[in-house]
Amino acid sequence: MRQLVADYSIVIVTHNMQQAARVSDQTVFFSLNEERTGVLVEASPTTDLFTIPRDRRTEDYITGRFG
Amino acid sequence: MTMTRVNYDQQLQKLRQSVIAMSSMVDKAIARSVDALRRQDVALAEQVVSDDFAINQARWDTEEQALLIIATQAPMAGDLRVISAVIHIATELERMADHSAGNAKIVIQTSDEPLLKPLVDIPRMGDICREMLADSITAFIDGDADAARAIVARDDEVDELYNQIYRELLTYMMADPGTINRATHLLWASHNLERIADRVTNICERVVFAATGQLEAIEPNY
Repeated sequence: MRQLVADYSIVIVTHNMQQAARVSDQTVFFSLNEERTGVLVEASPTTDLFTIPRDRRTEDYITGRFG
Repeated sequence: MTMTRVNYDQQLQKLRQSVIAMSSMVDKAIARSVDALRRQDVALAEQVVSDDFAINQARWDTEEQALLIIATQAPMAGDLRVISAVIHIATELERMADHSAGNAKIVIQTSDEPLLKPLVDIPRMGDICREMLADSITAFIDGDADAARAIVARDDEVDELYNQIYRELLTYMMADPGTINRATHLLWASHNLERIADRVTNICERVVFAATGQLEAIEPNY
C-alpha cells in the first residue's frame, strides 16, 4: 500500500487501530451521536490523531475505552 | 467511561503509584543525605548509600511495568504519553538518588575533619529541592502542565544559593588554603543539590509533555 500511494489515493475503512496508524497519512474518525446518527468526530494527520487527539471521543476510542 | 478496559486502567494506575513510591524514596534520600552532611552523621550516610540499591531496583521495576503495558495493551494518545513520561521520570528520580548517595559518600569521606562551618544554605537548597520534587510529582498525577511550568521558576532559587555558596567557599579557600579539601567537598555537595533541582526541571518537562503532547524546554527566568 505504501508503494501504491505514489500513484493512487487509497481510502481504508478499518477498526484496526494499529493498521490505521501504520499505513495512513491522514486519519478520520467517525462515530455515532446520541441519536445514533453517523458523525465525523475528528480528521487529522495520522501522527497527530494517534498522539494528540483533539476530541475526547477520539482519545477514548483509540485507547480502547469505548467501541 | 465504560468498563471495557478495567485491567488496563488498573495497570496505568499502578504505574503512577510506582512513580509516587519511587519519588518518596528519593525524597527520603535527599533529606537524609543533607541531614547527614549537616550533622556529619556517618551511620545515616551509610544508610543513604545502601538504600540507593532499592531505588535503582525500583527504577528497573517501573520501566519494566511501562514496557509491559506498551507490549500488551497497545496504548495510544494521552496514555502513551504518560507511559513515555514515566520511563523518563523514573530515570531522573534514579539519578537524583545517585546525587544524594554522592553527598552521603562525601560525609563518609570527610568525617575525620570538623565541618568548615555550620551548614545553613546547603540544607536550604535541600529543602527547596524536596518541595520542587513533591510539587512536580503532584503536577504529574494531576496532569497539570501549568503547575509543572511554575515549579521550574524555583530552580532559580537553587542556582542563586549555589552561586552564593560557591562565592563563600572561595573566600574560605583564599583566606586559608588549609580549608581547600573541606571546602571543595562542600562545593561538590551543593553542586549535587543544584543538579537535583535541574532534574526536577526535566521531570516538569515530561509532565508538560504527558499533559499536552508538547515537548518543550522550560527555561527558568534568568
